[in-house]
Parts: sequence; C-alpha cells; structure tokens
Amino acid sequence: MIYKVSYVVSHGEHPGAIINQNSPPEVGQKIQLGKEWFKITEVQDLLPPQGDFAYLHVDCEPTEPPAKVG
Amino acid sequence: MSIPIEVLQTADLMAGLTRAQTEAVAKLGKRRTYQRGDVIMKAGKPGNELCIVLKGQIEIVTGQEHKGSPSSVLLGAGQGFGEMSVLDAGPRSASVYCASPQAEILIIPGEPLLDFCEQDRIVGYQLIYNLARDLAFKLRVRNLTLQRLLEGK
Repeated sequence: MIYKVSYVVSHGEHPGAIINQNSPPEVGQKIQLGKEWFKITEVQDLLPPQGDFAYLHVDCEPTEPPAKVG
Repeated sequence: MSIPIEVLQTADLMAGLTRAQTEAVAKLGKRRTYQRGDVIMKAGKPGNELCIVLKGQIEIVTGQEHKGSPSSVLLGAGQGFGEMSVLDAGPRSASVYCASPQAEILIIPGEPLLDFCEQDRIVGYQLIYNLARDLAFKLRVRNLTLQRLLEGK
C-alpha cells in the first residue's frame, strides 16, 4: 500500500506537504518535512482507499528533532 | 536521460496503468533537473505541461503569495502539478520552486498527452480519472487547511 499523506502544520510558518510513503503515519510520531521536524497530533482518512493507494490527512506541530542514539 | 518508471508507479496519477502503459506515458515527456530556489513555473504565465516530481521536493505558491505562506505546499516524489493548465488551457494558477537541494521533474507536454488519451481511450480514461481524483484530493486538503486557519489552529 502507498500512503498519500497531506501534512498540515499548526502553529508555524511551514507550508505543509503532500508526500507518498510506504507506511501509515501515527499520532506521536516525529517526521521531517524539509529541514524542520514535526510531531503528528491527528491522523484521519481523507478519501476511501483505492487500488494500491490510501489517502490520509495529518495535523502536526513543530517539535525538536529526535534525540540521537549512542 | 532515462525516466525511473519505478518512481512513476508510486504516483497515483499512474494508478491502474500497467508498467508498459506507464512507460508509454513517460516517453511523452522529458526529465529535467532543478537546483534549490529555481523557478519551475510562474503564476499567471501560459503553460501546458503536466509535471510529476521524480526526486526531491518542490514548493507550490498560489497567486501572489510569498514562499512559506499558508497557501503554499511542498510536494514530494510521485506528486503531480501543472494539470490545471493542461485541462483548461488557462494561465498557471501558482508559482513552483525547487525546495530541496535538487529536484528532478518529468515534464509532459499537454498536447501529446491529450492526443495519447484520445488514441488509447481506455488508458486515456484512467489518466483523466486519476487527474480528477488528484485535483479532488488537493481541493480537500485546501479546504482542511482553510478550516484549520479559521479555527485559529
């Protein structure tokens, strides 16, 4: 399944993004859009899945980059 | 420069097409590379090409808005843009910039694309249906974005 995800950023100047990805986004997950990092606050279906594609909408807000391990 | 069909097969604009059909559509276009900040399209100018991001990210900026405004959006690999001018022959509704260090774009001229759809109507129907679905998706995203702005989020 390919997840076509629209990211809308609350509380910031980032324009948001539309990205295809191989795994579904999850609330609490940190993602990088361009140079900046965001935390996902809400995920919802935008359209019913069709064929190999699922269509999702994500709200996210600016956050710190994930801590480096090691 | 060859066109990476495996990337196009992750594009919903090509959904429902076989690899051979996707290759046939890709052959109508040319692959171009842009550097960060390059203008790919300018709002208000005439244009008649469908573009698909093969690599990197581009930023769509609507009308006279500035880059990074709430009405703009980043598009990653597999996303299409420029379809409105192919369908309605109107001027470009948005400016498009390269937003990553480098971006590769497949540019398909509108006239050969529509001729192709006319000649192979089964593939043509699927392509136009995919374009319509993509426009509907973008409209829904725009509606949600406006809703969030009005809610003050």
